[in-house]
Amino acid sequence: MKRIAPWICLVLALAGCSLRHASRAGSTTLQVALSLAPDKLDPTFAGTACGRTIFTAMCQKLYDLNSKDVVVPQLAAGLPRITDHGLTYTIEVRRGARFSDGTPLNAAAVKTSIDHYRNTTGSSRAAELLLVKSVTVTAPYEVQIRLKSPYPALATILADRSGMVLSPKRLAKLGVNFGQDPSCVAPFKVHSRPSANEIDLEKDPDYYDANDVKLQKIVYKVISDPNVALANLRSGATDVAEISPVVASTIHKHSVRVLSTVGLGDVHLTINTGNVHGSDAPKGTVRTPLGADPRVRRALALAIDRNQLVHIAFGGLYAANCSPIPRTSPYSTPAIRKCPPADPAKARALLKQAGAKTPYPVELKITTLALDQRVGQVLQPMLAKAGFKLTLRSEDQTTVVADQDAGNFQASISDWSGRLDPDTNFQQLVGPTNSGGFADKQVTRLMSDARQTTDVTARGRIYAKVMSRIDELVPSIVLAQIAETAVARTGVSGVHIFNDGLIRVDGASITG
Amino acid sequence: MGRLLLRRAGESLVTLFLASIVVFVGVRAIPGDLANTLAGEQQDPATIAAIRHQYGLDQNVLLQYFHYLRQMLGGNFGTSATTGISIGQNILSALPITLELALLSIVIATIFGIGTGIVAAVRRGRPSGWLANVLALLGMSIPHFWFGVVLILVFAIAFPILPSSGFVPLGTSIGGNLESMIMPAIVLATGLAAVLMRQTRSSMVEALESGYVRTAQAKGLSWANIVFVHALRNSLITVTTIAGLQLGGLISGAVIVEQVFVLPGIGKLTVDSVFARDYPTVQAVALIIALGYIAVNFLVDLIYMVIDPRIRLRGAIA
Repeated sequence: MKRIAPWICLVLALAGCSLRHASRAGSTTLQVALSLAPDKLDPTFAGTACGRTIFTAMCQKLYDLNSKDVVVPQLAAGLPRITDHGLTYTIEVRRGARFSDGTPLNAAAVKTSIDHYRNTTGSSRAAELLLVKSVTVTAPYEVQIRLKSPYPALATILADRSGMVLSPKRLAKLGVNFGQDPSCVAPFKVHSRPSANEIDLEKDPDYYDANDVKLQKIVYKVISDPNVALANLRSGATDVAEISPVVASTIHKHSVRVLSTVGLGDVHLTINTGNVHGSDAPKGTVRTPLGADPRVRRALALAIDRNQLVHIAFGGLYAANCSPIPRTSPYSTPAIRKCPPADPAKARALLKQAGAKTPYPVELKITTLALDQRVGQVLQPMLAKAGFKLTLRSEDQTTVVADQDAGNFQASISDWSGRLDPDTNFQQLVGPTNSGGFADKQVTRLMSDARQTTDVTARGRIYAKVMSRIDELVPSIVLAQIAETAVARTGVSGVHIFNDGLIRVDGASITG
Repeated sequence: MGRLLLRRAGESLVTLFLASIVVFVGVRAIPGDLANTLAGEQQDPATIAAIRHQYGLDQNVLLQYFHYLRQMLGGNFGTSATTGISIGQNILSALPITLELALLSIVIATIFGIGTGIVAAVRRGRPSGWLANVLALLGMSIPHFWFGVVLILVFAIAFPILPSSGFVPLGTSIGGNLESMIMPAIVLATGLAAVLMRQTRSSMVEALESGYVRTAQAKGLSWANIVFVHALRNSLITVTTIAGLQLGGLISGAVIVEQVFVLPGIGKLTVDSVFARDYPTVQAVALIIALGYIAVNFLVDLIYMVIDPRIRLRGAIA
């Protein structure tokens, strides 16, 4: 008996501990795992996707996107009134809202924030608001934004960080250090940042819809490894985790819920056609068959079977797409959605016509991320059938970006997180600072024409023409529309992920 | 002794100076540009230029180094490029966690390593001796990452008796703190315990075969007295030295363990800063770790002088 007594004590002690970790039902603290450390909690300088996810709970915007990709008012009282041929946006501001520091929200606060974003040195928002000429308070709850030239993307820009309204009192006190103690209108406010990789938010009792907020606290912590994040979810130490689609496609059997939606961004191949001295420098011509002859690039595009790529490399979660316009977008007309099927025979014929000796060698720069590796490996046999010899060159992500900027690549895989308005997505693909060094007067003119109107049908027609020109010259090849994924414990409800990829937990509650 | 101490201190300072150069050059040799990283997806040239100016990246490298050195000497590590929080504050909040983890690991490794080392030496050639050897081999072979995840699966999911992640400060709850630290400390201790076990075993085998042990046996002393008072005491000199030298290794091991158990220590700070391309933080943390290594080596030198008079005398003659 004496021998087993210590073991009985040990078992009882362990059982005591286990009671403490058994259930989280009724808890009002939500634990969220992010894959990367967020940056500054100031929309002026913030640049990470993780940061955007945290802002959804602690810093509301004039507008937001809903689950159907429609811009809806958040701190604005209604959609903007667009007059003066698209040059003036009049926005009515929500009444009765207060910042977490008690300052009332009004038109003056909106003007202060937008002017701050436009004029602060190093602001990451300045480029998005470049076409704003002036911001005027026309009434205590009405603000007027005048533009230098029509800019239909403005409403979607104001549905992101540029539309976040900062407390003018806190801004006056902290200036560029606003991120150290931010104050916005939102269901939650910053409680503390106990370490570089944890941010604790607490419920703001002054929030205008505070009665609908069930949680008292949200803890965001960084768990970079997906296996560790999953283990934490299963143990109940974490309620929600940001996770890549590759991992998400493998975890259906576990007792967690996968939240998945097709996003606004895309994965594309960038081909270096004119970046010989860096993406900011004047464009040149890359004197290789791939860089100089559109027929070789068209052959490359024809060799790719997007459906197979999506099925194998992206676990069926991404959607095959040929344009930077999301298939769910109202601008995605049938002409834009039409993807030419893979045709290796035609691709071979094009290569022959261009006089390229087969197998034609192409070096593809990819990052060391598992997803890029998969894409590269799936593309290799596809391109081989069409007469290409694809070699993969894996590099650290930053090196790939640096090489893209410097023009030190033949072709590379790029990801773009995507925006609702097509203008921003096309700018990324073929705009003035595209890393492939592509420049075409016709594309530039068409892009400018698309900005002159807010009519969806008219813009859709113009973007179809842009796509037709891109299909002809093939400076980039869009492979797929990305998916946005997150994982939640089954005992957590009210967690949403929309197409913008942001995990929204402000309406969440813990039931088990 | 004083001269030797001064010489060792001087050598440590020179090493620290060289380490600062290596860290500074190393961080700049990492591919990519901090300004490009901080500018986000849209890469506006004006924003990139402003960031470059803000962090002094538009100055020549030599000026950048002197600025960095001046900041470090003044104890000013600057602010994190990504979060804007004081790097000194981040290090101060992370360092105690890593030190506590290292200390707990040493305690566990010492108890387990020396214990199994004694068993392996005393019962060599028998099943319990073989088992101790197998455990040592496993301890050296098992990757920390894998072992950590297995412990989480067993003790946080299958039998939920310990938290899978997080940290409870000692001031908040001693029990909670131990609960959050026990699994990481065990994982981190495995390698060190194995080294200590092997060292204890070989020293003990040597001691047990020595003349003074035979004399003790002839005197009719008890088995426990011979093993623990005579043999173990003499074996511990080498074991203590090895344990001291392994402290540096524990700090680097903490990089992985803190990732697995989401402990906000120096290791996690380093990895997250590297992923976020927060070069000022990486630079400061790397220098702090180098300083830690140098300080530990200096302390080990001091302990040598205390333990072994020959070193003191050699130093005095030199």
